[in-house]
Amino acid sequence: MQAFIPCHVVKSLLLPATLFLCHAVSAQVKVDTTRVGAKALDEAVVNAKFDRKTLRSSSPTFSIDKERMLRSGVTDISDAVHRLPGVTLRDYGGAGGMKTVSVRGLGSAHTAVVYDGMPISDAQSGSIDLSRYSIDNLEDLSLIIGDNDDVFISAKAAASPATLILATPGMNLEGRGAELTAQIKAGSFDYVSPFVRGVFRAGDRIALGFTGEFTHAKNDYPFDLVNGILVTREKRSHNLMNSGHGEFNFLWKAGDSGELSAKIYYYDNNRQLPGPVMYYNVDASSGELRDRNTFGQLTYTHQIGKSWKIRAAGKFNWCGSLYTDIDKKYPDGKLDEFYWQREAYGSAQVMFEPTRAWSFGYSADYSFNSLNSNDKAADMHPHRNSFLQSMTAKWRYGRIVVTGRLMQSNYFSSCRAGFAAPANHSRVSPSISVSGRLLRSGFLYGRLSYKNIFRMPTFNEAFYNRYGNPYLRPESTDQFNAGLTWQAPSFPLMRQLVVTADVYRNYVRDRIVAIPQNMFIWNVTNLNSVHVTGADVTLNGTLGVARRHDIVLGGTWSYQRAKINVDKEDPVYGSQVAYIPRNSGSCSIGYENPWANLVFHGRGTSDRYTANANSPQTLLPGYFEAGLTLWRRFALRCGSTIEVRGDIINLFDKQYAVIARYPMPGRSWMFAVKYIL
Amino acid sequence: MKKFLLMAAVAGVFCFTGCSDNDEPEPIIDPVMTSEGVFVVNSGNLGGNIVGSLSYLDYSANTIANNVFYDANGQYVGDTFNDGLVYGDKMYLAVTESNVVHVVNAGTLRLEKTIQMDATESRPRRLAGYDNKVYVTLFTGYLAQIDPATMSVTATVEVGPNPEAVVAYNGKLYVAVSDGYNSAGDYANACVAVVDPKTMTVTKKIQAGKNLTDLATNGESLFVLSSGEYEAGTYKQINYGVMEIKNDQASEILFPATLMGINATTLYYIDNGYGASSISYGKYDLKSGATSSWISGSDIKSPAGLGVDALSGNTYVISYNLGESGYADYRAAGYMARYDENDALKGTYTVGVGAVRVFFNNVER
Repeated sequence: MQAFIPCHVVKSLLLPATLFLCHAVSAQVKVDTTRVGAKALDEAVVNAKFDRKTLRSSSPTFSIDKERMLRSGVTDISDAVHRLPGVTLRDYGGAGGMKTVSVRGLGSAHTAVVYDGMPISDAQSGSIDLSRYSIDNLEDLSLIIGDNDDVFISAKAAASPATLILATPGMNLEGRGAELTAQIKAGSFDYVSPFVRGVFRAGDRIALGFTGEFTHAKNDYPFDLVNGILVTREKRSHNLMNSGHGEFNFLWKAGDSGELSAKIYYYDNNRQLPGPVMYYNVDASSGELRDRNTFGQLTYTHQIGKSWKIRAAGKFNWCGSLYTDIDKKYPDGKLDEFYWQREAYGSAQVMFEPTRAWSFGYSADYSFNSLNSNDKAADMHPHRNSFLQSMTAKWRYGRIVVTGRLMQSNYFSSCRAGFAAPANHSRVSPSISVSGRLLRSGFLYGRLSYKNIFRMPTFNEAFYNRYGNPYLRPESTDQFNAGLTWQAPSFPLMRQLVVTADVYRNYVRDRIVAIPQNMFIWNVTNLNSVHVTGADVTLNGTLGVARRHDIVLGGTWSYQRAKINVDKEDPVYGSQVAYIPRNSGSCSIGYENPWANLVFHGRGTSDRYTANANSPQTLLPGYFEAGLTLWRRFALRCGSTIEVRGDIINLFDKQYAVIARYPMPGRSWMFAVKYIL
Repeated sequence: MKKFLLMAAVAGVFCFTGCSDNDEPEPIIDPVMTSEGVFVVNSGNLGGNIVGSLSYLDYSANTIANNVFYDANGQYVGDTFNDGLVYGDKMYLAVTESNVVHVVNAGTLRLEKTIQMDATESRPRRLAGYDNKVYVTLFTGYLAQIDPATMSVTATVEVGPNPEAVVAYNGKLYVAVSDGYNSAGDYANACVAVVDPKTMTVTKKIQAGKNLTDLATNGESLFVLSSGEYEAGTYKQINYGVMEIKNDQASEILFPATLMGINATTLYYIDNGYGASSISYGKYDLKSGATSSWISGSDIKSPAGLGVDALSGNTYVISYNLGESGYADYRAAGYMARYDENDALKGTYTVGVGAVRVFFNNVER
């Protein structure tokens, strides 16, 4: 059996969980302490964390931690997201291609992204580009669809129908005085990416961490352009990317019951945009994009007595986006668009747990967001003050847990003097969820949840010159979910098996849509509503076929039927909303043994349409992309570990596109060597 | 063990679905015979992954054939197909985003040559033929001259930013220079550039309002169309319409219009200006200078193009079909309405996606 990195944070938090689940897991844990240095092995605890959230949460919660990402051959953030059910990822291809996530047919502006406890926002577009997060720097990726069971969260984290939670490797106070991880990764199309992460601990009070990574990729991958009988082999030129990111983290344990954590983050990405592929004119694009993002965040948590816990958090964020295009069609032969956003955010949270049965939480958040651009004539200077409050109550009774939440949101938007003042919005949004253990013995849980929440129009939608509509109403969502989760009882061979199945119905009302009025003027408007019906099934298991030989399985399948709610006579009646596949899924089978671990993995979708009007002309074929991963850990005598990994991506060289006219790379390779001190 | 086999089987299913090859149907290549009729330029929709296409309405058969370029050649016209011209025994197709001008046989539509424009002098827009040469405007600011014998570009001249239409009139070439990207500079460089075809130089620049996009001539009169500008705040389209050019000078705006077409006696126009309360369809009598109404427009859901067949007296209006909630659908097939010389509806025909223009193959040579 291979050696695993212990999960320090998890251990201290999950002692109660292990007591719960130990009878299912303990018999199967094979601890091979001879292969690891002085570190203790705690596979049971690692799995227990995953099982608990997935099994017992009252809203569908799925997570992949760093270990499982390796064991299921996850190659990058896009692949990691594809292993979660119910997601539709817009991927523009290659290492630098933009990637935004939409969950269960709701649209990417409804997916909140939380990075180490604090929400990431983009008030301009409303969607977060996930390509800036590398899985090398992720300890855990979780998706919560609906309400977070956790009572002690910020109001903003509860203000979206779906939340993607990214956690970087734990800054914690357990562990050795110094930790270092260094990795170098190289791949096809001139891809190289060094990564380094270090944590230094002073006693058991202070920890300091830093992370640095850089990626250089030429991304000039070949693809087939099929133009009727004319099939040509082209190259995705003008696709170079240089990006880097650095972080400083600080953790301080103040006294017995307080903890202060801080982070400073900087991200810089300079990339050429290849643009959509056009027939007869493959090398057309000349656009370039420079993205920069920097923020500082501070969180202080304090436990007061047995029943009270408070937290105060603050964040300042700046991000700038510079788009340039050299093309003679522009006046001066060049286009230069620079947008920058500022955000100030503060949150105060309190939790009160008077008895074992009851937990109450209250949090109040304030955000200030503003957008500026270098086009002084068209710049609308939009800004928004947001006040959010969330009241949560959680009740545990016997085998049932009920969580209810009320969100109160107030948004005040304004823009440059002389322009139409946008409406302010104030709403109360309820949600309720129930989870219950259905059988007295065994781990079969049922869950029901409802969440109502809305999103404000983005700055682009409300204010963009000749496009925006300040009178837009927010887009609201109602989600209904019913599901079952099950952890199989232990028996020979089956070390672990967790299955989840959910069915859901979502409503998106006052849907914000851009309509072309003529060739030159588009208008954004609230138009109709969307009804989504779907199902998500996931499976994760480990089979121990022999001593030190395991088969690790994972799979998801999602069904999404998204229809626009219109009359029978309307041309889009009954059609499937653009870019949402009816069926999608992922799978991975890993064979782990003492010599080399091999994983076969894949993901795919069924056909989609590039427009709401479904026709043979707007059909975009489905695809299945498979990959192969080979990895192994070597424990060095000094206590360090070396991890070696090789990947073949798109094993069957399948030519496909996620977004029309943006072909994805064909067969390619990736190789990484990681050194862990 | 059973569960493992089941999982392997499930995974195996995924494998097999991944192994199927690309399944684009084999195109049947049939040379398309053309006689007298009207061609429709369907520009497609790049965002919706819809390529441009060419449609043909044969007058005698009175049926429309779509995708005729693909049927004849087994390959697509390209992206943002914008204009076509029949000149001599060849047909020229200007495809903007694909940056090519296809030269096809006017009778069979078989592709003879695809002229690739380069990176700076790029994006072909509109075509005109004169004195055994074909001219094409290039959106980056040029007029290019194509020699039909060699089917290649023999000369270019810089005319001004973002040119659109080009017509031959009085021995010269007139180019509508729109300066359409220059809203910040108030379209200051918009003009009608006069080019001497023999020397390929600009001899004059006629000032005629903002954002000039189209020209129409019947050989005797010349008209230019301005798209005007959008009023700050309301974005209502203002200062737009048809102007006449006489002695290389532009008149005032005669009447507002967004589309126009001309024959020997009449200029037909459609006014679908943004912010106008209703769409008007009118005729401008060239002799008297009076405007009158043309068709009622009840057959037209959302006008996109207008064509006048000078020889047959038929007029054509291209319209979008409506999509969700009654808005024009830019990603669905449109249709063309055909009117006879008495302005009576003669037929409607389904065309391709993004239909913007018509051109004829029975012009006198």
